[in-house]
Amino acid sequence: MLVLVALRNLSRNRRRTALSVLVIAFGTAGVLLTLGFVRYSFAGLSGAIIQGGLGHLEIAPRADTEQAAGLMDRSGIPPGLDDWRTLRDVVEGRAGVLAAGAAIQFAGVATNGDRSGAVLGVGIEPDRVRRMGMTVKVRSGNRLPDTPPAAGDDRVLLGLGLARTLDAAPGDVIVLMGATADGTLNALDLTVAGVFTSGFQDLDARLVQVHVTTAGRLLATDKASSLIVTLNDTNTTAQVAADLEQAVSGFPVPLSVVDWETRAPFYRQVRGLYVGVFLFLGSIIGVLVLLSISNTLLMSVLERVREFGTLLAIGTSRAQLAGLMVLEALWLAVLGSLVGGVITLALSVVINTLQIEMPPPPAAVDPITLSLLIRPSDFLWMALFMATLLVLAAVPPMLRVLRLQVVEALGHV
Amino acid sequence: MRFFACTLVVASLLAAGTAGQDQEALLRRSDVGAFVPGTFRARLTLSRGAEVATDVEIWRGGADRTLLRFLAEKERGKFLLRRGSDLWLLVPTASKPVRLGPSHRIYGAATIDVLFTLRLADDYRIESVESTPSAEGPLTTFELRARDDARQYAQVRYVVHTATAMPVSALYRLRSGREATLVRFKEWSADQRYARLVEVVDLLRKGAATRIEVTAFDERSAPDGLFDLGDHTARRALDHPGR
Amino acid sequence: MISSPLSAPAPVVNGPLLEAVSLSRVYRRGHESVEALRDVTLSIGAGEFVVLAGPSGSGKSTLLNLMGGLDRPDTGDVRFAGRSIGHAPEGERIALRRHQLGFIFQAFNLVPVLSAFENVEYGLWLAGMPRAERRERVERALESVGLGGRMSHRPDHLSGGERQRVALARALVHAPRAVLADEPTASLDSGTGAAIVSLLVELNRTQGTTFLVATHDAAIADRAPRVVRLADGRIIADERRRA
Repeated sequence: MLVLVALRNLSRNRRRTALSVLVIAFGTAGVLLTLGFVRYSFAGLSGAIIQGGLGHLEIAPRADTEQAAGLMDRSGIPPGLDDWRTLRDVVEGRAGVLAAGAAIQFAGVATNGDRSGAVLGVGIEPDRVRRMGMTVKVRSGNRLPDTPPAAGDDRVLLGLGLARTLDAAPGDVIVLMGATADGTLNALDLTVAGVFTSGFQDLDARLVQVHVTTAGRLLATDKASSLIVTLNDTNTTAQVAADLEQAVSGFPVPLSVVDWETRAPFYRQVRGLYVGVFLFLGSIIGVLVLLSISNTLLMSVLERVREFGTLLAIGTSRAQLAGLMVLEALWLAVLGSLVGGVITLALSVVINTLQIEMPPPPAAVDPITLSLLIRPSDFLWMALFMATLLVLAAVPPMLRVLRLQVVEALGHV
Repeated sequence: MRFFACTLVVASLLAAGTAGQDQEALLRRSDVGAFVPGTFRARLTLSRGAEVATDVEIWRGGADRTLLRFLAEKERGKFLLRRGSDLWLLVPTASKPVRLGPSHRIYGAATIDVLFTLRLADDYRIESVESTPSAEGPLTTFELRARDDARQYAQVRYVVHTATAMPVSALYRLRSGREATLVRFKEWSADQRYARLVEVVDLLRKGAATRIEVTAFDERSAPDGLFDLGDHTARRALDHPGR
Repeated sequence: MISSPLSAPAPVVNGPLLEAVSLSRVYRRGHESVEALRDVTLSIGAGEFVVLAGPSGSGKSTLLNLMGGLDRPDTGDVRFAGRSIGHAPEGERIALRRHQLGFIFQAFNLVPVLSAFENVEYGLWLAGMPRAERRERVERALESVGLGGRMSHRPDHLSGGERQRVALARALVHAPRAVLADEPTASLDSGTGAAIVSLLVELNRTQGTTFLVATHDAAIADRAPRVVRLADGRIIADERRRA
């Protein structure tokens, strides 16, 4: 019965109740929309990292990963993964694996004869890279051909900034110089197949992509730096990693299987920052909602002092009265969360449909689309959060009620 | 009395001037780059610890032209060409030469500069001189500073046998004062015109040492074509003589 | 005669049902204190209809509140059926009010968001009665006060007299042993008030429910078999009339 009383009490002052519901609703919507944006940003960032070349997992000689976990940091380490084709076939046969491809890291100098620039290069298997969904955005020209290039027919994809430095365009020939696996110098003529962007200006100024055969030709090696692995589902990364550790444990060279988060520590930093900002914003919203509703409930109690006195007089316990306060708060939470959920749904549909372009983040090249990623469970969790918050908001009015003197309350005007 | 004092002063000045002239003379006599013939061909074996040695051939065509040819089978066709202050890498798989930094190390710690091209007496001036005894006789240590601020090695500590003017070691410092390369002269050719066995220590990379042995040396003229950046004919002929 | 919802008269109790023993109550407001009751002793037997009469400030409401367990005396005690309740823990007093007592207030004090039916039902719900049984008793209670056709109406849609009837039904629906009424006709016109009084008297007569009514309404006092008069916090007279 108290549940019914609590609900009906909300209709005593409809305007005030409506205002309270709106406060909760917009608080709910604010948090959910922010959560949706943050989640979308995480998904986008992790997708960019994984699809940008890191893949979900990397398999490399343990001796190399102990020197440098990050793939880019290993450009100075000669490739050490022997018989990578066999390894690749083993890996691609495991459950959860979408595809795997060799990567050869190197550093060097690119020159057009007049201008030169230091480069970080990676040799890839273009067909597998495509299967893994890791292709770069080619701004002009073409991608690298799938078939291994014959000697003298090596191609290269240049980062946008590097292409500008070298004043190179698709079809031009540049020279790429690097150190071979045993430390001597080597150089190759490469025809520019295309110009690409990684999405990051700093990387575009130094990155080159070549076929793995070309990289091997330059470094005078048939070894790879590592095997990049992509999965069907990012959420299975840990399980598949464990499985691959087992599968490759018998390989002649001790291998390590490293996940993408370990190789991209800045992701955790960015995630930590976003989570911190989100919690901060959420806290502010929570405090505002709590204070607002607490004040509303308190006002409602002050208006019903005599009624509470009557309820006490006819045998209602103080605990039941306190429970009534909590129920009223919970009803507000339910209503506010429902309205907030509707507002959130409507706004998220509008925003996702409008495809609003936001300026590129620092150091990025392309603008990003404002989008929200909200899950059905978010609404439930938000409702629970609001319910908890409003129960807290009910504490001051509860205390007020608990301290009521029956006789004084009965005589209250 | 005044005459005696003047005489003393003049004598001191003369003595100082004479001592300075003696030091300059010693430096000139011991200058490792001064006695190497202007044009020559040499073959060197470079090795580092237990690693497989690599063989190179050096052609010198004057003070500012040097060609280094890699003799290892898998390095055939590769050359390093020094012309003036420029250093170029020439490889068969690249149609154009690649300019390298002048400090590039051809193998391990060795640089062409410290091997053959530096003329200490001409390119550096003496800042200080110190004499020290040693088991092999007294040593003179020159602290030299480059006359040209643009030189890669701004300072050199050059140690020579005072009596024989034979170089013992040369320590090359960068402009920052950081020690970069240490060259130890181990053995000399019979005519003492060049160091037959040299040890070069890269002080910038944890002291990795390269042993350089001159296995062949003949003074001869170097065809101009070897130093032509655009025409590879003369260089190809080295790998394919008679073609 | 209005039929009563109560199934049987209240059981006979040996000794008084309600007792005030040397009750005193002082209200403090800041530095001021008011002696609302001074050493009051009063016994009320089961089935009695007692009016507490006196002018405003005489202490009748205070005595009513103390005897109903709504307040605690400063000195003295209150007993219900021989059991001390004056200083009992609040839980016991709440239980007493829930099961044994009924209350009627001057301003009716109905819950505005509940219908007449729900207002009367509330007390049965507090007592833990099952829904079906609650329904039956509430309907009978409301019919007994003449509101069988107005059960679904909320208080703001009922007249003053109807609201007080609802309050009466609420006070009686759980068959309390005593009903305490504080100025039950003060907010009603004379005609309506008289009707309420008649109802109270009738219920006392037919059901034997003990009534303790605090009022300054002479109409009630005239019809009460016993009138206890108070002034300045003391009982000044205790008048019994023949039946």
